[in-house]
Order: sequence, then C-alpha cells, then structure tokens
Amino acid sequence: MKDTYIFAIESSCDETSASIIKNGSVEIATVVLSQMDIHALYGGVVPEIASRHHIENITMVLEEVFNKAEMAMEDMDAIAVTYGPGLIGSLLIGVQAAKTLAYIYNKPLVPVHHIAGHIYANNLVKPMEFPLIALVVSGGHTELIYMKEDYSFEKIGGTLDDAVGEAYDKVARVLGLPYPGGPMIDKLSLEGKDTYHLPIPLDDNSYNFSFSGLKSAVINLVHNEEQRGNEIRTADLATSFQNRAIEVLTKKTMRAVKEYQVKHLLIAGGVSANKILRNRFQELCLENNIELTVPQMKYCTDNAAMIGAAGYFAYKLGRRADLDLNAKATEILK
Amino acid sequence: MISLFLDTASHNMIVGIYKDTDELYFSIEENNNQLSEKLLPAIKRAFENVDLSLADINRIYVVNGPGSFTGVRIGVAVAKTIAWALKKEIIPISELELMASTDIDEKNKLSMIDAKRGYVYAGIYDKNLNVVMEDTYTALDFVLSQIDQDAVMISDDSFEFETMIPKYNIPQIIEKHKNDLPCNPHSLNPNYLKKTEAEEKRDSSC
Repeated sequence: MKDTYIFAIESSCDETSASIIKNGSVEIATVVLSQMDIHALYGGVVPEIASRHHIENITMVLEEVFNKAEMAMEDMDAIAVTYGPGLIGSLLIGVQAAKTLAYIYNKPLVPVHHIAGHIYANNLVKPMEFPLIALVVSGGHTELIYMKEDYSFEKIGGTLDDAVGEAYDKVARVLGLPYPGGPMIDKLSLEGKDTYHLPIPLDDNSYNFSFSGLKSAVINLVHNEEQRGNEIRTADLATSFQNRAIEVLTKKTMRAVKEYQVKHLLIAGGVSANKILRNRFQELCLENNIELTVPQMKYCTDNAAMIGAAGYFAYKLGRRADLDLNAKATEILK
Repeated sequence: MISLFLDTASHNMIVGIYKDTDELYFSIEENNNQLSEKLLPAIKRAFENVDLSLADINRIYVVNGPGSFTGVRIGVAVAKTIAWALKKEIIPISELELMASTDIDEKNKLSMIDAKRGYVYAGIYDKNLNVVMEDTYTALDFVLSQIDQDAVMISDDSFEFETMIPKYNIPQIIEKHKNDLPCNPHSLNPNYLKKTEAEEKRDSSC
C-alpha cells in the first residue's frame, strides 16, 4: 500500500509547530518552537504576545521541518491544521498558513481538533485499540472520553470548574513556584510527604471532576498558616495536593475502564507528562490487566506531530475544509 | 512585473493584481470580522478572474500595519507564506502611506488611525508619498500640534461619497516602491507601532 504523508501545523497556544507524519503513526520530522520562556516573564501566556511570536516564526518553522525531513510540499498527501480550540489570535496564524499552502499546492485541507490531536499522540506510541477510554488532562481540559472507533468521541465526564492543569498552576502560584507551575509541583512532590489534610475533590459516582474546591482548600490553608505565623512546608503541601488530585483522576478513570469494559486506556494532554500520574496509572493498569498508553514526553505538550497523527485518520475518513476555514476559540470535540 | 497587492489592516479587505502599474483586478470588501474566512477565497477569485495563478506573480505588496493587530497578521501570514513557498519578492507597505495615496490635491497628507484612548497611529506624506513625518503611535493632541495648517487630514474611515469606498491610488504605491529591495519572507513582519499592554505594564514597573 502506498504511504500517506500528512503535513501538520499547530499554533493554538504558545508553541509554533509543524510536522510530517507517515501513515498516522511514524514521525518523519517535527519542529516545535516554544515561547514558554517569554511568557514566563508574565506568569502566564499573554495572548497578544503569543500571536506576535507565531507570525514571526511561522515560515521559519515550516521551512525547517521540510529541511529536516528532506521532503517537499509536493510529497505530501494532505495538510492538517489545528483549527480550535485555543487562543484565537494564535490559531489564526497556523490556519492562514495551512490554507495558503493548500491553495498553492492544491492539497486537501484537513481540520483537526486540538484535543483529538492530544488523544492521537498516543498512536505515535502504538496503534490505538478500540473500544478505549481516553483521559484528557491539561491546562484547559479534564475529560473522560469513550471511543468505540476512530473519531467517535463520547464524553462521559468532565470538569465542572477548573481543569486539573489550571488548578496545578494556581496552586503553584500560591506556593510561590515559578511558571509553569504544574511540572514544579510534580518535581517537588517527589521530595515531600503527604501530611496536609485536604479534601478529595468530587468523590461521587459520576465521571465528573471538580478541582476548584481542592485549589481553594490549598489557598485557604496557606493563608491561615501565614496568619498564624506558621511556615508552609511547600514540598509536603505539593505532595498532599497532588495526591488528592491524582487519587480522584485514577479512581474515576479506572471505574470507567471497568464499566465500559475496555481493554485500552489512553492518557493525553499536558498533564500526562506528570510522573506520579503516569506511575499510578501504570500500577493500576498492571493490576487490572488493562493496556495503558501514555504519549512520549515530547508529545505531551503542544506539537504538530499529534496533529499529523490525528489528521491522518481524519483524512482517511474524508474530513475536509475549504479555503474559508476559520479558527475557533471554543469548539466541541467531534 | 505582475504584483499581488493585499491590505487587511483596516476596515476593508483589498486584493489587487497589477501588471506593472496597470490594474488587472481590484476588489474591496468591508472587513466585518470574517477576514480569516474571506481572504483566501478572495485571492482565489482574483486569480480565477484574470486567468492567472499565484505562480505567475513576481512580487507581493502587503500592508503590514499599523492597524488592527489581528487583521494585519492575517494578511502578513498569507503573504509571507506565499513569498516563502513560491520564492516571490515581498515588499511591506504602510497603511498610513496607502491612506495618503489619494490624489485629491497637492498638499501634504496626515494619515491617522484611531488607536483608542486619545492615541492615534499617524504619519505625514507629501504628494509624491515621500515621508514628511515617520509613522508613529502618539497622542492625537501632539499630532495636531505638529501639522501645518495646510495639510489634509485623512482618517481610517474616510471614503468617497460617490463610491462609498476609500480612494487609494495603488498604482502610485507600486510606482513608488518598484525599486525597493525585497524582504526576506521570514523577516517580513507586522509593524504594529505599539507594544502589547502586557509589555507596556512590565516596562513601566521595571
């Protein structure tokens, strides 16, 4: 069978990225230009600054990926691009570049949902086996998704307030940790002990999550201790917070795996880089004879390789966009 | 010399195709928040209309600001992608100069775009589009104190009563810039004339 090459572009937040993916599973070349150091100066992503960097970097990133792959646009079967959700000004740069290339080279244009990208990042590790459950955890998402086949996304639960990554970042800020806070908490928790009393968030029979209560509990605890003049044991508090968050994530996810009788569990999104989360799921899946896939560390954060993987399956399913494709700040996974 | 002309910085989206300074195609559409959807289809229509393709052009003139940040970026993203992919020459054009390219009379033109809160993007050009005052982001009061009584003021919402569209002289722009050294597409970027609010705040607190 002839190989299918997808050229993919991702610019939904603060990474400008392009990639060439073969048959939805083999990475030929990827370039990711991260602006993280710039936004760290502001304690978080500043949308207008992100857009400005995307426009400066976009053609250089496109050129570099073709150089790296020693391929040309003519060799590609289709162009895939993240059209949403994300920062609108950032998304627009990738979308315009993709549409321009699709027009110039007369290639099919394939719109890819950013979260579909995160899920399909796992296909770069090993082929996805359906039915499966995907836990999507990032700064903007905390969702449990049941997939009976490619591009069938049934949301069985999600966060009612903060995304788990958002809670991590806010807690990190209260603890005085540098941006981005999530990885710092993960690192600190390796040294700490679970000594602080914190509630398990939304410990019920649903598949929904709620992290704002846990976040507020940490903030209140810090304020109270400060008022009493007590020192905060930062590593211990990071450990206690992380344990509660991960406990509820693993508990509800494993219940979903059993109830939906799936044999394959995927973790996706930025928080899937969390070491404790990975270790805990590995233990539980081993115990329960469930196959677990987590993305390679380099594909946990935003990248175009995952868009190329997701784009391949969208392409095979005949999903296409015209030159009037627009970027969408909010968009349901479909 | 075939040129593509793009302006997405203002209230209007302009797509033009020129052979030297002769207009082969010109379209202007109100830019009502659908620029991202409309620009590529408009470019496609333009080339179909004149029976040419993007490969046939030699050069792109793109307005790279000042104006709507997002609007400018959409035009520049398309222009620099074309220039990079097809190895075409690319020349940036100031929106303020484009506004000044109206041949209503011999006087100097003060072009101004509302930048909110009493500020404007402003530039002064003579009748041959030579720069009299460099494009700048400044208080409106300051600009008004700088100009001579004679200058004609043109704002970004100016239009001709007969046609209801702004009267720009794009052939004059092309003539003026025909000997400009083309930019490297990678380094052709928007000229916002204004830092982001986050940067301004940071600068003032340092």
